[in-house]
Amino acid sequence: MTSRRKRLLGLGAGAVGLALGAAACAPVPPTRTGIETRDLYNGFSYIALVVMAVVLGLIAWSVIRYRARDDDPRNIPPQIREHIPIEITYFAIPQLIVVGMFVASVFVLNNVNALGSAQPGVHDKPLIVNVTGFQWGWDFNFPEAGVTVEGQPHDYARIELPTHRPIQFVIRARDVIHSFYVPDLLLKRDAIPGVTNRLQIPGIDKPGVYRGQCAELCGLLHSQMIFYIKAVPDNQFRSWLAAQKQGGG
Amino acid sequence: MAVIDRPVAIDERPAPAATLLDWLTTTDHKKIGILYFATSLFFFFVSGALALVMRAELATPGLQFLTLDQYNQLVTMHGTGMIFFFATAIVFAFANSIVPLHIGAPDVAFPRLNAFTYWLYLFGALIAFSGFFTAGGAATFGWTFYAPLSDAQYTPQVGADLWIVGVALAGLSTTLSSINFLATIFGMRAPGMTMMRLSIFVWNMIVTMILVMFSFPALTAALILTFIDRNLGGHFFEPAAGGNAVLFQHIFWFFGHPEVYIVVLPFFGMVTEVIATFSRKPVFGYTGFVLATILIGAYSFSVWAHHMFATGVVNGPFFMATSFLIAVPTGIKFFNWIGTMWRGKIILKMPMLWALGFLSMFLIGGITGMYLASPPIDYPVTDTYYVVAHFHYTLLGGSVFAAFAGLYYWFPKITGRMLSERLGHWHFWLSFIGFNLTFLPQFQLGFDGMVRRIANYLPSDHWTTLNLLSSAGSGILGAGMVFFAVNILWSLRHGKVAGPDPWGGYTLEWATSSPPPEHNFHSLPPIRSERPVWDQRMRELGLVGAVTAYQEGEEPPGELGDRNPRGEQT
Amino acid sequence: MSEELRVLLRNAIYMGTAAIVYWFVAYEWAGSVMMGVMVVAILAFVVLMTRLARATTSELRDEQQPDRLRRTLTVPQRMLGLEEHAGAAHDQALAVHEERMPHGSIWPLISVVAIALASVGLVFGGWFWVIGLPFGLWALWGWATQLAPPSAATHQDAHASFEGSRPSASGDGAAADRETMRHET
Repeated sequence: MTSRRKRLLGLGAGAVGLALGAAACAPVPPTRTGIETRDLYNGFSYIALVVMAVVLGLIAWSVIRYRARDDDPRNIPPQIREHIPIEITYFAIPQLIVVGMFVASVFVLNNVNALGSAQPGVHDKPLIVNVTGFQWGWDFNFPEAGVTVEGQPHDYARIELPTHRPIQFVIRARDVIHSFYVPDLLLKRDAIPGVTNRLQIPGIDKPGVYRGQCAELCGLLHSQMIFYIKAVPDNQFRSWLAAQKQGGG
Repeated sequence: MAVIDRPVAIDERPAPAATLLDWLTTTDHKKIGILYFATSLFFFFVSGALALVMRAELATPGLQFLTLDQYNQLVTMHGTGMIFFFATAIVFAFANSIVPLHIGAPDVAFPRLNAFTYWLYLFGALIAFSGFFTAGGAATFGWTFYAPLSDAQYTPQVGADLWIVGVALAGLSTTLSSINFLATIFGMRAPGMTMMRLSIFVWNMIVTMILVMFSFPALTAALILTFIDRNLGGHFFEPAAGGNAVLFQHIFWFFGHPEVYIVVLPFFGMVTEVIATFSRKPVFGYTGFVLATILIGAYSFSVWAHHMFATGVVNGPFFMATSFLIAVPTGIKFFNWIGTMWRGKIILKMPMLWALGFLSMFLIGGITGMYLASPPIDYPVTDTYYVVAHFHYTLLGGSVFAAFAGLYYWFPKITGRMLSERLGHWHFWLSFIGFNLTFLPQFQLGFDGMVRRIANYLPSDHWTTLNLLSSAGSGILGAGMVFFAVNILWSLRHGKVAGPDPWGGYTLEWATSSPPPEHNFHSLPPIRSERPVWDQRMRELGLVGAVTAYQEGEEPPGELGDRNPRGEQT
Repeated sequence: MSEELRVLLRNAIYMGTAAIVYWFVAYEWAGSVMMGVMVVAILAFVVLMTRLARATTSELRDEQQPDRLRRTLTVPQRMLGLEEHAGAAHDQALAVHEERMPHGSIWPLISVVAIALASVGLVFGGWFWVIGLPFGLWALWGWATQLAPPSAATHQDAHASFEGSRPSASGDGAAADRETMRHET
C-alpha cells in the first residue's frame, strides 16, 4: 500500500517536473521571435501535460485497480489479444497531434530563421555583427563601424548592442566547432570552421545584460568561452562604438 | 515435471585452472552471455563512478578537485563507457542469454564467431579505457568525437588514438554479433516457431540487429577517417585543408541516431515480456506492436540530423517531420503496454516494479524529446543540461530501468537462483528517488542556460542550488546501485533456488531447467502461438478456453476475451 | 516471400522514399548518398538471402507457381503483409534430438589478442605487429584446422563427460532426471 503511494508520488514528481519546465520560460523573452518560441513551447507543454496525465493515469489505474488479489493459477483474467478499433484510435490520435505540432513549429521556424528586414514597421537595415569563435574566446566585429572587440579566456568579451533594431550575427569559427549561445535571447547557432552561419533577431526589446557562452565542447577552456551582451538604446550604443574605435585606435 | 534443478555450478568446485580454461574457450551462448553481463556491468559501474566524480565536481561553482582536462576525460569516458561498453554490450548479453532459448535453438548460428565478438568487445573496451594510464590521459573530445576537435592538432594525446582503436574494435564486434543473431533468429527457430509467433523480445532484437548491421559501419567509417586525419595526414574533416567538418556530423549521426534505438528497442522487448507475464495476459495488439517496432527501425535512419539543427546547415522541416513521426510508433507501444495491463492480474514482483519505473521515466524522456524535435525550441535548449536530462530519462530511467527489469526477470533462468526481493526494493526505491532528484533539476538548469560538458561555473550564474540538489541525488542513485551489486553477489550464492519457471512465464525459456542444460532443451512444448509455455500450462490446468492458439478440430479461437477462465462463453 | 525478407524490404522501401524526398527538399548530398547506399545494401542483403534460402528451403519455390497474374496482383500484400505459412507446426511435445554441440575453442581469444596487438600497433608503432603476427598466424592455423570435421572418436571423447546428463534419444528427459536427482542426493 505504501509502496503504491510512493509510486504515485514518483509519478506526480514527473508531472511536476514538466510543469516546472513550462514555468521556466516565465520571464518574457526580450525578442519577438523569442516570444513566438516561448508560445510554441507553452503550446507543446499543454499537450505534453495532457498526454502525460492520460498515460500516467491509465498506468496508475491499471496497477491499482487490476492488482492481483489472489495467487490461484486457475483464476486468470480475460485473455484479450487485440481490439482493432482501439488500436486504430491510438495510432490516429498521436499522428494528428504530431501533425499539429509540426505545422505550428514550421511557422515559428520560418520566423526564427528569417533574414533581411522582414519585420513590418521597421525599415532599418539589420546591424551586422561578425562573431568569430576560437580557442578559447569570441571576437565581435562591427564591419560598418570598423570596430572589433576581442575576448580571452579570462577576459571575456563585453559588447553593447542597440535595442529595437534588427541585428544579424554572422557566425564563423577559426579552429574547431563552437556554438554561439545567448540563453536569455533564446539564440544558438554553431560556429563551424568553413561555414558561415547567419542568424538574425528582429530586435531586442528590453535593455539589459545578457550572458552568452560557447555551447559545443571545444577543448580545455570550453567553460571559459563566456561573453556579455549589453542591450542599450541606440544613441548610447553609438557613443560606445565611438569610444571603442578610439580606444582600439 | 520431475526435472529437479541444480543451481549454478558454483556449489561444485572444479579445479580453478580448468574453470578458467573453460571460460576462456567457451562457445556456449549461455556462458558467453554471462561473460557479456559481467563485462558490461563492470563498465556500467566504472562509468557510473566517473559520473559520480563529475557530479561531485559540479556540486558547487568553480573547480574543486579536478582539472579541466581531467573533467573532459571523465565526460568522454563516461559517455563512451555507458553507450558503447555498457548499453550496447548488455543488449548482446541479453541476446546471448535469452534469444536462443526464446526461439528454441540449441545455440547461436556461429558459436565461435560469438566467442570472437565477445573477446573483441572486451579488448576494445580495455584499449579505450587504457588511455587513462597514458601520459596525456584518456580522450577528451566527448563520446561524439566531433571533428575538427578530434584532430591531432587539437587533441594530441595518445589516449585519443587508443580510444578510436578501442571503439572501432568494439564496433566491429557489435556488427559481427548482429549478423550472428540475425542468422540465428532467421535460420534456427524450432519447428512451429514462425515469425509471427516469436516473442516481442525477439522481434525487437531482430529490428535492433538490422539497425546495428546498417548503422555501425557508418561509425566504423567515421572512426577510420578520423584516425587517418589524425595519424596519416588525411584532411577529410579539416576545413582548413579543404575538408568538411559538417560531413563528419552527418556520418556520425547516421550511426548515432539508430544507435539510440539500438539501446532502447531491446529494452522495450524485455519490458513487454515482463508486463505480459506479470499481468497474466497476452501482449495486447501483438501485430501492431511488431509493425510499430519495424516502423521505428525504418524511421530511425531518417532522423539523424535533428542532432544537428543548431549547425544551421541542415534542412529543418524534413528532420522535424521525421522526428515527430517516429514518436507515434513509440506512443503506440505505451498503449500496447497499458492494454496488456488493463483488466489483467498484476503481480508486483521486482521485474514488474522496474517495468513500471521504466514506463513512467521513459514517458518523461520521450515527451521531453518531442520539444527537441522542433527546431525553434531545440535551438535554445540543445547542448544544455536540458538535453542531458532528456537523454538520461530515456537511457537511464528508460533503458537501464528496463534492463533491471530484464535482469530481475531472467537472473533465475541464467543462474538458477532468484535475486533477493528485499535488496531489490532498496535498489529500486533508492535508484528511483535518486534518479529523479538527479535529473529533474537538470531540465531547469538547461532552461537557465547551463551548457553541457563544462567543469565549472560562476556563483553569479545562480545554478548552485539546483546543481547541489542534482549532485545529492546522484549520491542516492549511487547508493541504490551498491544495493544492486550486493544483491547480485549475495544471490549468486544464497539466493532462493528458482526452479524451471519461477514467474509463470510464457516463452520457451521457461520450458527448460534453470540454468538450461548445455544444449538448452530436453523437449519443447508444441509451438502454436507466441506463448507456448502458457498454452501448455493452460492445457494441464484444463483451462482450454485460455489457450492462446487452437488446433484443428478444437474449439475455434473466437473471442478469447469474452470467455471466463473455465472456457465458457459469457 | 518470407517474413524475414519482408522486414528488410519494408525498410528498403521506406529508405528509398525518404532518400528521394530528402534530396528534393534539402539538396544535401551526404544524407542522400548514405540513405541511397543503405537501400542498395538492404536489397543486396535480401538478394543474397533469397539465393541462400532458395538453395536450402522449398518455401520460396512454392510461390513460383504458374499463376502469374495472381502472383503479380498479390505482390504488395506479400511484400508488406504479415501473413505467412504456419511452418512445420507440430502437435505433440517435440523431442529435441541431441545435436553435436561445438567444442570449446581457444582460437577466438587468440585471434582477438592478435587483432588487439595489431590495433595497438597502429598507435604505438610497428613492434607490436612483430608480437601480434605470430599470434595471428597461430590463430589462423588453429582455427582453420579446428574447423575440419572431427572424427567420431574425438567427438565421443569430447562429450563422454556429458553423456550421463544427456537425455535419451526419445527426449523424455528421464535419464536427465535420474542424473540430476542423483546430484541432489
